Amino acid sequence: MTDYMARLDGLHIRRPSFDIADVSLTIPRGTVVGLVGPNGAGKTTVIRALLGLITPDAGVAEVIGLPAGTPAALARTGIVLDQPIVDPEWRVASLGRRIGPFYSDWDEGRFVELLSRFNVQRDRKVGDLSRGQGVKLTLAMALAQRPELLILDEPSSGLDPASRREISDVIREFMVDPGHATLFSTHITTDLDDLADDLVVMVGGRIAHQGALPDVRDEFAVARGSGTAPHGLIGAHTSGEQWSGLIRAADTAVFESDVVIDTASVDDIIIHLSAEHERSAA
Amino acid sequence: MNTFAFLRFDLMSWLPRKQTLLPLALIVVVGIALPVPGMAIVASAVVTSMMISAPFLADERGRLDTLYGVLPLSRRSIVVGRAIAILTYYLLASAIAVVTTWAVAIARGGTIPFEIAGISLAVGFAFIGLAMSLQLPVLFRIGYSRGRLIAYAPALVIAGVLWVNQTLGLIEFDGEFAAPLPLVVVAGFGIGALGFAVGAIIALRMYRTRELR
Repeated sequence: MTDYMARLDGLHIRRPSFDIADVSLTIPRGTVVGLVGPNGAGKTTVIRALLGLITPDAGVAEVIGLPAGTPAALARTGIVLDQPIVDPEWRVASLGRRIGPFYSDWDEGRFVELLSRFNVQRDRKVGDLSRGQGVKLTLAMALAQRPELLILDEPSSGLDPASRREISDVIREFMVDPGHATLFSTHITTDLDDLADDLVVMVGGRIAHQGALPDVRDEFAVARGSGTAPHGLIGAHTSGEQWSGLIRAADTAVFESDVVIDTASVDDIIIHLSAEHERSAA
Repeated sequence: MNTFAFLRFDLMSWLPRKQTLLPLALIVVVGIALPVPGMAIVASAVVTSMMISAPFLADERGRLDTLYGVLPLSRRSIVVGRAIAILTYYLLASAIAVVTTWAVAIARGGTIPFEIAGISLAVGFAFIGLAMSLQLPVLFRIGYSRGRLIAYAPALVIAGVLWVNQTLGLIEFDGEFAAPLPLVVVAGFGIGALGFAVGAIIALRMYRTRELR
């Protein structure tokens, strides 16, 4: 058994509309990896590569030691997208009958239990479900497969806090098994606060930063002040006289006493790393 | 095993729909309305050739292309499963056509025109094979929205061949088959089977490298 659940190594994908360059990341067993970044950063493309939906121009994409996208790898991967990928005309109750036969470990009892827990009515058509219920249905389907790796692509966008909490709770339960792992791509970085072990920040098709979540937070700070922005800020942003930017926490002492140094949130890190990327690309 | 799991899934997905079943009723109407024996069987082939794109339409409407990408299935299972699903539809359509032809013949106090039925079935299957070889690769490669016009390709190919034949006078046909019936039947079914195989093989090559969204 490999100690990692999935890995990308030196992934390059070049298409007319996007460019993924030299992406390497590992999803160890027993960890939740948060994948964050602005729109168009390449998060969904990375997930598509892990599912074998897109063929890399170079690099390696593996799941459980198998090439990504092979039936054996997919059989052990549960995928939750931002909406159900089943016909809107199908009834919820029919999904086990339709999808279950593809999975040797399909657990219909677990599927029904999760639907009941999520208040998703089984006699309704998939297309009649609310957005939140659609995501919960997809999560129930993914977990009924009894996967080892769970991949979530923006599942919580547009969901109310209670629904997001429900999803987080279910992921926590899934992660009780130390052999499991989760890749959670999201815009709502607060969802990762109590959940993620590692954080991968993607900007402009590249990994701008990655590491253990507490380390990433500790590594950066936000500097704010007024007047002329000092050199050395990452992704400096000015608004009138005010400026702000990301700094390495180790560099805090370099700044004058009139500069306010705050703890960096994950959002701060994304915003300023994106700004830095745009500045260097210009 | 996964091929048959997909076949079952595919038939459950698009066969029990009104849009799929109503054309089967058309076969009965043709069989009753047109007095020419074998027309229902010809209609079953034409209807099936037009329905080859139906499951691809269902794929796009239901985001099933993405689903196929994340199910633990090989692309081969999907292509072969779908080819068998379309064959199943054709068998259903031709069974309805044969029963209609038989029932109409009885009602009109005649007998089943075995020779015409055999030739019609063989020619119909050859037509379906041609349709599969043309449509399946295109639909698997680019999907329904961009590839739907290919549904008219088999009829256009046959019309083109007939036009060229008429223009150049290559083969004279006086209403009688010069070849013996068994040869026509074997040739028809052979061409049909070859069309299915060629269509599936090319479709697999096309679909294997398609990036699913």
